[in-house]
Amino acid sequence: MIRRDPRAERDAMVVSRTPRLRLDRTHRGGASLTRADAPVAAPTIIHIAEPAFLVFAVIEAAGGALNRHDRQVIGAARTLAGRDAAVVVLTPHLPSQAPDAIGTAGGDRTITLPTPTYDPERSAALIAQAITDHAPRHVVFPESADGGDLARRVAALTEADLFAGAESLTPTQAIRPAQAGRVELRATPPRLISIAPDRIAPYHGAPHAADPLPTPAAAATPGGIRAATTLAVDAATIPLDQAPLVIAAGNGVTDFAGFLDLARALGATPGASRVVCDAGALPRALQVGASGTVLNAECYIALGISGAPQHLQGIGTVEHIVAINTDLHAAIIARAGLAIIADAQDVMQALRAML
Amino acid sequence: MNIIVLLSAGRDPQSGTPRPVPVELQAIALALALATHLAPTTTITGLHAGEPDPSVLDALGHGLTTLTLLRTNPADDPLATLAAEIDRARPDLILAGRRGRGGTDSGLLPYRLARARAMPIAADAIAIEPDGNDLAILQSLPRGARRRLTLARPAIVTIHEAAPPARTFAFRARRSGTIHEKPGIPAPSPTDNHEIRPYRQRPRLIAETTQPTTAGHLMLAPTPETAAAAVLAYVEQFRGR
Ligand SMILES: Cc1cc2nc3c(=O)[nH]c(=O)nc-3n(C[C@H](O)[C@H](O)[C@H](O)COP(=O)(O)OP(=O)(O)OC[C@H]3O[C@@H](n4cnc5c(N)ncnc54)[C@H](O)[C@@H]3O)c2cc1C
Ligand SMILES: Nc1ncnc2c1ncn2[C@@H]1O[C@H](COP(=O)(O)O)[C@@H](O)[C@H]1O
Repeated sequence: MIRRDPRAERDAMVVSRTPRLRLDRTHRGGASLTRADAPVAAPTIIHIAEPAFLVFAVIEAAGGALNRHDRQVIGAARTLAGRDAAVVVLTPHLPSQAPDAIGTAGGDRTITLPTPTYDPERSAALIAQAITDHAPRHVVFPESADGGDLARRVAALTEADLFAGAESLTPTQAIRPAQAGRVELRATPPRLISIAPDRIAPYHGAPHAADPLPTPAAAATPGGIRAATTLAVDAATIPLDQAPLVIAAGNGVTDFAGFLDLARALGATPGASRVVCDAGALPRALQVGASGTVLNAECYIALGISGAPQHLQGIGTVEHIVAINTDLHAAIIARAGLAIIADAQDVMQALRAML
Repeated sequence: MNIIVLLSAGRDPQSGTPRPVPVELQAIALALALATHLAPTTTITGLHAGEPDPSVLDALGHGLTTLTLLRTNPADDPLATLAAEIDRARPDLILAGRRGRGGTDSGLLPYRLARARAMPIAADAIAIEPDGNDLAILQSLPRGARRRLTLARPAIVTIHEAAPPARTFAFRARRSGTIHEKPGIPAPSPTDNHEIRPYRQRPRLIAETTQPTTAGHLMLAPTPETAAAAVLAYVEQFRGR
């Protein structure tokens, strides 16, 4: 197949560029046609060497990987930066599994904020120092539990206002709810903005080159938070709509005691399809789907579930799905990141034996 | 111990009529629970900078017995007024809602107050206990997780919706509560260039995730052991976030 390359065609028509651009439009350059089956070049990486201004994106990168909200924060920063400004991603650590994840998400620079333990006072001081050092035009935070806390600490430290929980963002306008959600405030994007989850689209364009910048040096913080420990939670007690990892049984599962035991061993919250709840094999509270619970999980394991539309509605926002089914043509297989065509019973037993 | 609960003027999300902010009522309930742990000399005072808004006065019916009302223009910045009162009252603990409900609702005020009075602040508490000279705070995190913090006193703590429920309203308590009214410090807040419109619901992003972000990996009839190992490896990537 032959494709036109308008840029190359135009370049072939250039007679002179100074004092003004002159094109010879009678010329029909042959060199401008490229064969599409020629080896595809890797996507060009965008470098912004001399940015017009900087936009900071503060992400959480919990567990060493970017989550959905993190990518939305970088996407929001990218929107504010446009083509000429650089997005500086401030992260507690670089994503371990995919080092180029930040560039793919739209970041041009990275600053690592070393906080080995939970220490929001120190994180805020480091970010405030980075703001002093680099004078970014905007700083975007996730309006999450820890991200929102950090945003307010930075706002208080830098004596700036925070545009909290923006639900819409363009380079010229930011919108957030106020007055008990009865009105919305519109303003030109101020310096500090936090964005509500699932409102602002992540960046999908060509990857950027995420070059590291030096870590800011911050003075000692007062240390009012003396100690912090995260308590282990029993996955079985997490409400289904908040659970990070859900394992669900469908009509293809026969051993429900074994299923619940596996969920406990895996540290996953158990769920079920409607057929299983209708049959009384598992309690109704476990039902996932349109008439059950809509999940917000990070990862979902579907055992012997066909993936009916009403079921898929319950896992609309789940990004990582494992499907174990004997039927290659089940709808859930098309939706899965890892699809295994096998007997659910056998895999369950093997999994239990491995834990 | 001397506890102050910060109260803001709340509005009902549906009708817009004055209605106490639920998390602030939960803060009162937490303060009352904390008082049972402590010496009987514990005092709990509500504090509001603004006008005698019915929503603030109604907090007296939810377990609060005294309320300090610092009269300022409701459009004023309450920071200076509240900071001055804190200097005077010298509380050991200040409780606030994680977000207001009826004003700008940015949840910024407790942080500005903490900065102004050089106090530590912790967010989203669902339980508070004394821990020697410090405070032990149980913090609610998303996904049902919890974090325990030790905080130096005096401190500001904001309360999360997952905290124990508020006391129900008692009309007699509302009538018999004492209100200390004093003038506040007028501090016109800098005029912001916000345009105010009726709220419009905007759709959330979900379309992006209805297809797997990476091409799915398919295993046809693997042995149960290979399948189980693949599942574990896949799940491990996304755990702990
Ligand atoms: C108004 C309405 C609301 C609904 N709401 C919901 C809802 O909220 N939630 C919900 O889940 N459903 C809901 N449903 C029902 C939904 O349409 C499906 O009927 C249901 O989800 C199917 O459940 P299932 O996948 O477990 O069972 P099935 O459709 O019977 O699928 C079983 C799957 O297991 C596979 N399988 C069989 N044996 C094995 C084995 N040994 N190993 C591995 N795989 C095996 C089969 O290939 C098949 O794909 C609703 C329906 C309606 C009409
Ligand atoms: N005028 C005020 N007087 C006393 N406390 C306030 C006032 N405004 C806000 N607060 C406290 O600060 C919290 C957060 O408010 P806001 O920053 O307005 O979202 C509220 O839940 C109150 O506890």
